[in-house]
Amino acid sequence: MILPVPTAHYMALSVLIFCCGAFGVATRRNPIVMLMCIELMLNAANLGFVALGRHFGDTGGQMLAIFVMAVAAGEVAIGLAIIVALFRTRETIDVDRVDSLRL
Amino acid sequence: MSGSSRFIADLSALYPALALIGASGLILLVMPFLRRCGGNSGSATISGLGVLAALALLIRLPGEGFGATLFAETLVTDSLSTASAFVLLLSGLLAVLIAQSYLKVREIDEPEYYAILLLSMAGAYLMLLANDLLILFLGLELMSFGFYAMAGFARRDGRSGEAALKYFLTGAFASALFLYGIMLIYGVSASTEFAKIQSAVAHGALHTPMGLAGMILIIAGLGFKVAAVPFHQWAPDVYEGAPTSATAFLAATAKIGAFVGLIRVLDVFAGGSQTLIPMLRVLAIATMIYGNLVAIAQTNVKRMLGYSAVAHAGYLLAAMVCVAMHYEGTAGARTNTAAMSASVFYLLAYALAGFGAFGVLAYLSSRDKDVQTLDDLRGLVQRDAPSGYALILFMLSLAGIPATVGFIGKWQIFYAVLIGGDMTLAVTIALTSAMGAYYYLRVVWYAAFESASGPDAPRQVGLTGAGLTVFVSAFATLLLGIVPGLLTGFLQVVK
Amino acid sequence: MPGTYLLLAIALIVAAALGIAMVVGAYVLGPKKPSRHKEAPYECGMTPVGGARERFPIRFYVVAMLFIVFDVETVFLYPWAATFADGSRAQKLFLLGEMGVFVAILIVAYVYILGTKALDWGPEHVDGRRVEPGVLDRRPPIMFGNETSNGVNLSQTVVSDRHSMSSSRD
Repeated sequence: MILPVPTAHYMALSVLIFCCGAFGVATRRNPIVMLMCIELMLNAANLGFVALGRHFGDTGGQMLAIFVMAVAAGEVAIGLAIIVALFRTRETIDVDRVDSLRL
Repeated sequence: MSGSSRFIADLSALYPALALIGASGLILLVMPFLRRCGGNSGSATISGLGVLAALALLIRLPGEGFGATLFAETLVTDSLSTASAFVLLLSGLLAVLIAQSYLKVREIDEPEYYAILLLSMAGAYLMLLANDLLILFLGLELMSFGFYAMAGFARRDGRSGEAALKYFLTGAFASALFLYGIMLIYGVSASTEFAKIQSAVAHGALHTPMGLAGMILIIAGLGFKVAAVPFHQWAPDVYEGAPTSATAFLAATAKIGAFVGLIRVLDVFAGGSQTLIPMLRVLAIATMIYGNLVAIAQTNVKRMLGYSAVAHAGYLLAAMVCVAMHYEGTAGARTNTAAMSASVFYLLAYALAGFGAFGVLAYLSSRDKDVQTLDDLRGLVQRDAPSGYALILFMLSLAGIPATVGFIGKWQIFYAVLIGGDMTLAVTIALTSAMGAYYYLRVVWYAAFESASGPDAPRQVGLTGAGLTVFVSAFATLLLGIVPGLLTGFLQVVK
Repeated sequence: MPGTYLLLAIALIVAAALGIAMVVGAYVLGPKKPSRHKEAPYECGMTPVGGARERFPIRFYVVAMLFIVFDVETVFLYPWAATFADGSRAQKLFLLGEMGVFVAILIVAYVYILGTKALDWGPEHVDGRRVEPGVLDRRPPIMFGNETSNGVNLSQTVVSDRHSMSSSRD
């Protein structure tokens, strides 16, 4: 007999994806890859929202995910715009080489 | 009342935000026309009028609706939201003024700046009214998007783009943490509404690992936005690299939005977990000590003010500890409301002094010279007495010297911490304030007692927007420092 | 519950096995007659004009960014449509108005994009002179080849290559 995947498994996957994203942000040095890792973190949250929404029988979870998707799209657009603008003046986007301000 | 008429009635609480968004949309629509005839002053006028309209609409908000929840419990209008919205819109007005002259002399002729500024303010406004974690998140993002873009507006200056990139990456990371925290809290309370989360917290939701992790992530996400240690690394870089007008705006607005959001969240979490208060306390103490300690070593005033912003976030976090305290009965409520009122007043004091100090830098800047180091301020009192004395006043206010509004704000927080009975925090506030006085007074020393190093670069004279900002901030800083009663009643938060 | 994952695992295994079998089968069974032209990157049957890793004009990124934002906005139409279907007549009117506001805000952004000429692709006119967009810029020749060939500049040897292909068989 086939039972639905339990919510706990979705949550475990979500935590895994979130940790992958957070790890990527911490270790990678290419802003575009870092941006992708941040998107991964947002999507981990989305997975959690949808899974929990199903668990509670609440369509609100899916609504939250839709809002997050819109926000993520805006974030990508702004991030790419900043990276493109910086690339025009710098010819490099490696964050380790973007260091004229002291860290 | 039917759904749609209820909607129309609730909408009145959002009129100020709608005025801001409308002005922003207008600027975008008439952009080609604006560009043709000097984009800067036209768009500054539109956005200034938009903010004034928002202020008028805020003051006209009916008083009897206090504590009312709107739009199916997602927004709330109460004394906290109204008082902090007043502070927000006031600083928005100063932000428009400071931008008008700074962007003009630095030849950053982009009407988009104002459109983004207004949208960012609308996002912060939404945060102040949030009664739901989703709304808080959306407001936070709308506010932050504007900051990222504004930090990168000085496109000829490579440091500006760099500041924008750093701010964006850390800010987006913080947002992701915040969002994941929301998801975990949703998991333990089956809702993102504050009222429902509060009842879940009362039933021990934060004692589960999921709830605890959610709480920590939410506080960490907001901690990033206010530059609390250990989430502060972006602050000095962004403060230094961003155009001065944008720095002034994001310094004030990010604090207003994020701290009011933090107050609301902590109000919900209060008493739900034993780790909450110790955690906030460690954050507050570390932030106060670190910010003040590192600021001492800075020679760039903008960067110094960046670390000072970290320190001020620490004082506000000390107030947050009292907000999170949960007692039964009236004594606890008194601590909570005293801390909330103190925070709102402190935000006003910080915004005034911050806009004033950055306003002086913007006022002194010219096309070829972006004033931001201590050397640039050498002998300012002799060269330009009004701005020199104003700068001294703002530094004294940031340091919390009596007869300035900064002193009143700090005293209120100190008082709230005292009646909360937290001696460690009270002592830390006192000691770090004394430490902070050193670097603020060093600026005063450079401005008043050193002699000028060279001739002034030619700059704009007459009444500029930045000059007006300095004048208004200086006037308010002194007036409220001597007669704080003018506004303490209005900014009082009641439950 | 294990059955759920068993099915998923079977699907994954079948998909992976099929993919691997095809590639390995072609490798083992297929005849191999390598030539320089066969080993050149495939570009829709045309002779390659440059490397795959090159910089694209900024307009591609601008259009991509705008596309993402407008594309994702449409996702809000779905929950709206789901709510719209169940509403009474008055509610439907109200919801229609709300969607009108939503679309109006998008239109403001669209008008702004048009106003800033972010979507203009044609040749620009600078000081009355026609300037072709960056896509068509001439690029320096890029050398192709692998360890066995000595490297051949395909963008310059197009004509002679075609000639040699028709006359002599590799």
